[in-house]
Amino acid sequence: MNAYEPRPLSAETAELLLDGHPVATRHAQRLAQRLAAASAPGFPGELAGEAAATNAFLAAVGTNPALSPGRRTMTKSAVVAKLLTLKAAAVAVAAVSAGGVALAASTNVLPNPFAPANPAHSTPAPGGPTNRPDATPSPSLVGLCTAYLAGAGADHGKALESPAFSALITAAGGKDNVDAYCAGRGVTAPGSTHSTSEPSEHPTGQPTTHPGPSEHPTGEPSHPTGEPTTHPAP
Amino acid sequence: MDRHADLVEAVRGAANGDEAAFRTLYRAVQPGLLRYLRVLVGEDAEDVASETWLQIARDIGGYRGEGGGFRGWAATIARHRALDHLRHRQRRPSVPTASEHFADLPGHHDTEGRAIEALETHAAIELIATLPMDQAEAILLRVVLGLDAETAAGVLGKRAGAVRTAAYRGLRRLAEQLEAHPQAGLPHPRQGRAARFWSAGVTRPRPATPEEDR
Repeated sequence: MNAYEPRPLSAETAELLLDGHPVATRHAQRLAQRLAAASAPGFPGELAGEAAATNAFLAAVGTNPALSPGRRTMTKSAVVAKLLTLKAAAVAVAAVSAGGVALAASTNVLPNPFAPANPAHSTPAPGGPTNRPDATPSPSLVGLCTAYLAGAGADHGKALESPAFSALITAAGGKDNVDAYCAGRGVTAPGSTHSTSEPSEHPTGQPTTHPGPSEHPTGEPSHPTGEPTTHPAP
Repeated sequence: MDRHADLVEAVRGAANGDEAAFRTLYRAVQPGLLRYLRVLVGEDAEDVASETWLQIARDIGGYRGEGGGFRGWAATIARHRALDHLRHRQRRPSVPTASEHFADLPGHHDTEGRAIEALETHAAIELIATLPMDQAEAILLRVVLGLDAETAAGVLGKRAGAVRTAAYRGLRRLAEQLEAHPQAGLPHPRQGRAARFWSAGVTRPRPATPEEDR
């Protein structure tokens, strides 16, 4: 270290930088620039998983009563209503999809992570693939498939006993058929008519149906990471 | 914490099953989380972030903290997921090697200015990743995720004083590095001109050589 620069960065300056304050002292200027860049607002590519995360959230709302306190007895009807709303939106968007790209772009309330590159809809929506609504016939069932498969780890069998899956079981024609049915919806099977979620992990191409390539995180209810303290101890 | 008062409402909404509130949380926290994870697990950051959000989605119904706490809570989950991931792979934490994920960072709908910004963000994160892991983590939690020293300490399972020291040492080290190599932590000039070079050269943080001066 140069003798005339015994201390490139004071502790006080460091603390200011760490708190996100702009610092313009000679020694800290470049450092402040790098830190500002490191904490820049999110870029679209970083938010590519929003649809998948939201889907997992909606699935959790349907299967986890704790997510809707005070509405425990209505959990099933609430999630079905929610999913039906999404379905209606999908149908509406599909009806105008031929000339309704602008509408589709503005209607990004219906993320469909499962069909980002459906060749049947050759018009790329300007809103970006992750938010593009798609004419999936039954997003509700696809969502239930996702929820079911996401929990298909340790409590695989128990998952289907949840009332939230009754619609899925009905549609599949029985509990034993759910796997095959979901595969047929393109949730797991590559090369289905929706040409959708291949199980491979294309990290940037599309939000994957399964966040973990080989694990099913929801299947580990007693996972040690499950309960970080509400207030991390000082 | 005032800085994160904005999330209090969203946390409450998400805990009651509100989708829009959950999206608000995702957009607010995911970028920082992903950058933190990139330093912890490198190219697997996307996967670990997805696992993290799956767990957040599942557990937020029981979460009763404040908005500032949510970032810390999310960071704690992410860190546990990352450590599990590394254990699973029997691999040491390493700096990012390939940058395929970042390659998508300047999305198709980004302006050129945004794309360059994204390059700068990437380069800055990789610069931080050159630090010893405890220093890098302390800085990332404080600066990128916006946690205070106490919350960051909770995430790391350390005392706040230790986290302060680690962050300070890390910053001092970076300042020295920048003194010696003013271009360190900047995108390569060629990448700065065209985002399509994004994935080509940004492999490993490395102080710029003098010839690279713009």
